[in-house]
Amino acid sequence: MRRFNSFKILLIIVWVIIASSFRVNAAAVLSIKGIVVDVETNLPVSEANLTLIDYKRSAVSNKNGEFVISDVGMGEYVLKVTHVGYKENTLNISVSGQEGKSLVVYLIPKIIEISPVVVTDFHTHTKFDDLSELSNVLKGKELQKELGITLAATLKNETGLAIRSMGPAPARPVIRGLGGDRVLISEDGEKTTDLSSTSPDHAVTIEPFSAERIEVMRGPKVLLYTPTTIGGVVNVIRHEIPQEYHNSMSGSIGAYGETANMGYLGSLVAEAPIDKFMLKVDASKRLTKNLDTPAGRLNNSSSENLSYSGGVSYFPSFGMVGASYKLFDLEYGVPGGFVGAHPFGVDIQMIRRQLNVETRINIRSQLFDDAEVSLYRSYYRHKEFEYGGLIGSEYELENYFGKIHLNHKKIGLFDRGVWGASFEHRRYNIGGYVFSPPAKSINFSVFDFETFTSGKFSLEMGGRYSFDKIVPDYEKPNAKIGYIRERTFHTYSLSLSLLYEWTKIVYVGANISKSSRVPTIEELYSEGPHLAAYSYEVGNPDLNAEGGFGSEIFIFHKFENLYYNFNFFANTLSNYIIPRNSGEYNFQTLLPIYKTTGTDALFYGAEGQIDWGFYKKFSLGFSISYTVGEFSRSGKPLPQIPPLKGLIELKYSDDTFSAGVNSEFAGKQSRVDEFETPTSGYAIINAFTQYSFQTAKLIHVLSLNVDNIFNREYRNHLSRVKSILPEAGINLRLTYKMFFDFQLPQ
Amino acid sequence: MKNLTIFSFRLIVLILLFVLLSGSSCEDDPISSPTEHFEAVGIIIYSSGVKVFDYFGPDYDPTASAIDDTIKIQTGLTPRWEAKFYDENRIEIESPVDPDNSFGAQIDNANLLNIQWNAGEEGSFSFYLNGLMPGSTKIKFQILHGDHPDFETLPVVVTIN
Repeated sequence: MRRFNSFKILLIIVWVIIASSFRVNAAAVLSIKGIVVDVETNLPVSEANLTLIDYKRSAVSNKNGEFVISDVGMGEYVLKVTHVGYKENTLNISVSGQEGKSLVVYLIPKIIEISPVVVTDFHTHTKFDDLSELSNVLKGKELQKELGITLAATLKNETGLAIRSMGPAPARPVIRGLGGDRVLISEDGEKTTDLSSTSPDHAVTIEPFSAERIEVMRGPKVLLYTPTTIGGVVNVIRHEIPQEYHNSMSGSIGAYGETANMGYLGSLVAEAPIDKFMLKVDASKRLTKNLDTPAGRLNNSSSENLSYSGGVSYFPSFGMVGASYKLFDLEYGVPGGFVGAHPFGVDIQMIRRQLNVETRINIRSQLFDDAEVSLYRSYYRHKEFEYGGLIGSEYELENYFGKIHLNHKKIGLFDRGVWGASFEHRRYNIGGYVFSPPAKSINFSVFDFETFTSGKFSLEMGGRYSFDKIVPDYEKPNAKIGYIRERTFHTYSLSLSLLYEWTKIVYVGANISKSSRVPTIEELYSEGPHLAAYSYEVGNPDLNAEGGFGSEIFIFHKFENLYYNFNFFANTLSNYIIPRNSGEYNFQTLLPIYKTTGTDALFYGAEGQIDWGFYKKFSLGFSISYTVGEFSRSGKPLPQIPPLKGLIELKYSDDTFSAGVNSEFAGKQSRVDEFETPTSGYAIINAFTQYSFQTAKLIHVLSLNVDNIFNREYRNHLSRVKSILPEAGINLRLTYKMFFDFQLPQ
Repeated sequence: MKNLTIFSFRLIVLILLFVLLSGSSCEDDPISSPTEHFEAVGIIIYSSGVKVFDYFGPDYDPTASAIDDTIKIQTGLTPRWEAKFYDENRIEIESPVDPDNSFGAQIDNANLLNIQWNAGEEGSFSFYLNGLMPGSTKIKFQILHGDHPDFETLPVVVTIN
């Protein structure tokens, strides 16, 4: 996903000249002063935004290019400088008690390269972050190029990821063969409240179009969010609560269309200051019709989505406080027509409303940088309708979640780290043609994440302890599935990553982790048919927590025109919880019975990614991933394991224009579980082009993709509807985004 | 202190605004209670107390395209047939009384066969098969819950003489 050239350009951005002093006031509170200058003309640049990244203090340069960021303490800072007409810059600065110094920040006009405007303000800190930024982050133009109807479709070509689906709308990413809630999906670091992890017919409640960046997290850092270190976190960053104050109205207007489902989307994101507040709105509307495949139209696969949010933040002297409100409303069809399915499919309506409150308190003590506190309340409702319009099944979730992160400075060996705690209360209610009892669950977790660098070694480590309690509304000692009763779990997870700088351009590393996961309410208590999943689900109230031990080694290289990384991993899981086709049928409904069982499992495999700028502006990209999943005792294949898959891409790219062709390919998956059907391999050809241009203060980015040019019939092994129809046929995707940034009067 | 007061005031306004927005959500849409379902696994069809067809799900391969047992009728209406159901222990159970449940049949070739009820009894468990012309087709007996079967048989061959 990352191209080395872009990284290099970011690294060489602007030149800083130090002169003069910091003024020290009587209370030893300092300020950062300076001037912003155009590197080509040496003229001052007004309306540039300057932000201290970790501290969220900011200023805007005046008509003489001068700026002052007041009320800062002594220490090391990362200063980000942005301007609509110039390339973004970040630089490390040191603030001491000396007077008479000021900064001169040179900016390169954006006409040289537009891309920095469409990347976000993330700043990497460690070598691990650099590595992650190179291989596990989708942002800017690359994100726009990959945008699809769902988050999973957007990520489908990421190394190590596959898509589990049941029609176009209900799709969820799978990492290294692990799906469900082993892959945590979050927005702005907050876990999304939906049921997408529990069943393949349930969609993820995230619209990817307006995301600023999407990052796939692995390693110790995931312990800040989840105890499941084997798997990962897919975090969608959109900053619904504005994180910085700036004196400009900025945002984007976007549109999207594709032919395979005649779908289209309109989107608006805008952010502006009002008085001392920063406001942000984000809205999008998407409509798609039934999907056309080379073998015919996939009936009942249309969808309609409305998503909007409003956020506000305020920046008092102690830091930031903000809140946001979000609504996500989705209606979609789950196709029917295969064995056990409804002849005409099922329609699903889901809605998520969420209220977030967040504050950041700058502590500035010797021990701590700041504290981040966030709270949210989320309400999720989901209805599954039979063809005649009757509600077949219905789900309701109400979630209260809170967490605190204390970001600390150097302590002993550790350079930086986070101490934290979180609390979650979830109410789960079920209605209609479903037989699981309503239940409540409580989670309390404490966690720690630390980084350490010494010479050529970098280390990240984390730990997390969790207490979980799951309480059904009523006990059922004689249920067919067992004794339905309250369950409590005490689990812990650990992870450690080590990176060694072999040479200045080659790094090798390793990760070991101990993972844990508590069974979900559905896994414990389900009993009965699941309308849209076309299965008769049988839970197991006696399940224990899932545990695992993960190990990984990796190597990565980055130098000028060549970037590569290779990973090899092996994960063993004890009591791996899966709903498994039992081969039995429920004779009332003739639905196959899926029994939830815990079993020992082994996952191992490899991933590789290469980007090679082989000639001037031409580059060759290649990625491949392969996972083997098997039952530890028998060595037989686990169900729903993705086949070998990859991408090869030839690309021309300059500052404003790129074009290329690529081939997505997958091998045959014949290692299948009992009662699971194999899937043939495939290779499809895609083409893409992207053009960026600037008019006045507007930046335009236009992307055109042609997927599956030869209308090849192919099937996704992880698709539950693969038996009736293949994946999409030839598809033209057109994406347009216009970015604006209007400076406002002071 | 003055700044703090102003800030606190704004913060309160802010929080109230969002609480109000949050309160406008659709939690006033109560969730429907879980529906009872009819737990039959077998069906017996009687004609004037005489068994004409017997089906017990576990006796058959659920993935089979049809079962071997054949129902043989003449063209025209059969006598009034009545369906009764039994559970996994082959014990007869009461027919469902939920108005969302109805009795029905899926017939492969509607030109050969249809199902009829007395007027006003549509969907009841007493019905007629109507052979329209000689031939052979398949029928699935169902207890429908909306459009979804709480119970259904595998396809059964019906021969019309």
